[in-house]
Amino acid sequence: MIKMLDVSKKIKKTYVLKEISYTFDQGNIYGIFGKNGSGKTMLLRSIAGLVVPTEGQVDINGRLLHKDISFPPNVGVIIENMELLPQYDAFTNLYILSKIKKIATKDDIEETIRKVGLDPNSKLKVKDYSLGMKQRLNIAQALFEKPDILLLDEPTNAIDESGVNLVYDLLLEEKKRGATVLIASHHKEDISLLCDDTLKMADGMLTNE
Amino acid sequence: MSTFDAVNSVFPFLYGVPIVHSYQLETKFLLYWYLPIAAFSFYFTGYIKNALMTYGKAVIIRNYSKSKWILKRFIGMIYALCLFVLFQISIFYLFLSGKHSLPDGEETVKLISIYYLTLVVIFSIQLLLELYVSPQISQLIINIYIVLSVLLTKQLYLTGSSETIYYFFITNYGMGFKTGISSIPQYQTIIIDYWVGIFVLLIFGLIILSFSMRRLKNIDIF
Repeated sequence: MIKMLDVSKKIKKTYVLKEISYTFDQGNIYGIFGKNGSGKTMLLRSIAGLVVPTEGQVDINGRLLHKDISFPPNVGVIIENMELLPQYDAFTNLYILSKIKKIATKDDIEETIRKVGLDPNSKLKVKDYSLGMKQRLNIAQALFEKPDILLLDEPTNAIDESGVNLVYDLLLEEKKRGATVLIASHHKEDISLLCDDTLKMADGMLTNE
Repeated sequence: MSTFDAVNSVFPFLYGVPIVHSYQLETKFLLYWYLPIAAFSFYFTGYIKNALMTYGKAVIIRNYSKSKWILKRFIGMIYALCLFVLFQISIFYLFLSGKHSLPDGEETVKLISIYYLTLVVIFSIQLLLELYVSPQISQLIINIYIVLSVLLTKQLYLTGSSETIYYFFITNYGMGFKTGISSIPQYQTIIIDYWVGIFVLLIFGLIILSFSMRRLKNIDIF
């Protein structure tokens, strides 16, 4: 469970998040919609522990971020500018990352790469990937350690139609597994059917649709 | 013989820029000494910030220690700098070893050690600054500091300033002309004690690393 308790974030005299209080329950998919610059990405960053709220706190299963823990214990993230190592292939990239937490096996990595529609045995380097392939690999990067929380910022960006359906199926699988999924998007229509709850982000404020 | 060859050494860059009255001579020495350092500085631009904002996120989010992450980046910088300096030494050895005799072994080791350590500290400052300002601004600041500290040292020396102030201009530490290790007395002005210099550089290095670790703990990662 993720509890946001009066979370505000101020950057250069402007509040980009304003007193956000909300509880995201375990095992649900939440869609966060809003225009560019409304604060969706900043909300995900603050839950991921990448930014420190100016006011308020984020509670992850009873533990406070930046107080009891630096980051959520088991989180998968897709966030803008997040890139994998361009000089390596898909498998090597995930294998290097897997060495940090040591919870995913080589089989888990291969299976996840296959699930997102890529070939785990391909030696093609990430720098030679198309945008859509990079995004698929980013999704695999977020999923392969079977995280409890998934924070996905525009996860279907640059992915073709068949790929989008594949991603939706994967997210439903993650939900079945018990993961809490937060998806930020500016296309409400695209993923609202997938979500248990949809929230609107505008001017740094989060409201129920 | 060109003016630069006047130092009569295979490794003239290890002697740095002498305190001389002639601006032409000073500028020539400064350019030869500064150009490779400027190139190093370009190479390290964004070494922390860009890595942190891209792949670093995927690593740190997995609860990887921020301190360990930045320590690894600093070790990477130290390693890269070692290769650069070895390359620089090899180039000069290839082109000048036929023209000049090699300095004696102990002198060379001392010169290379303090030159390398000076570069490590200078670029550590550049990396630390990236945690406060953009990589481009950080690079600009460090390059202004490098050039200004050489030029200011001369002005301060000519006005007879106290000796302690020279220790704030780190670039002087890596110059044989200013540490008294060069065997070319006509250009030598000892303003930095070699062993004090080594000690100060090591302390500076540790302080910068500690500041970087503390800063990264409190920084927002966008």
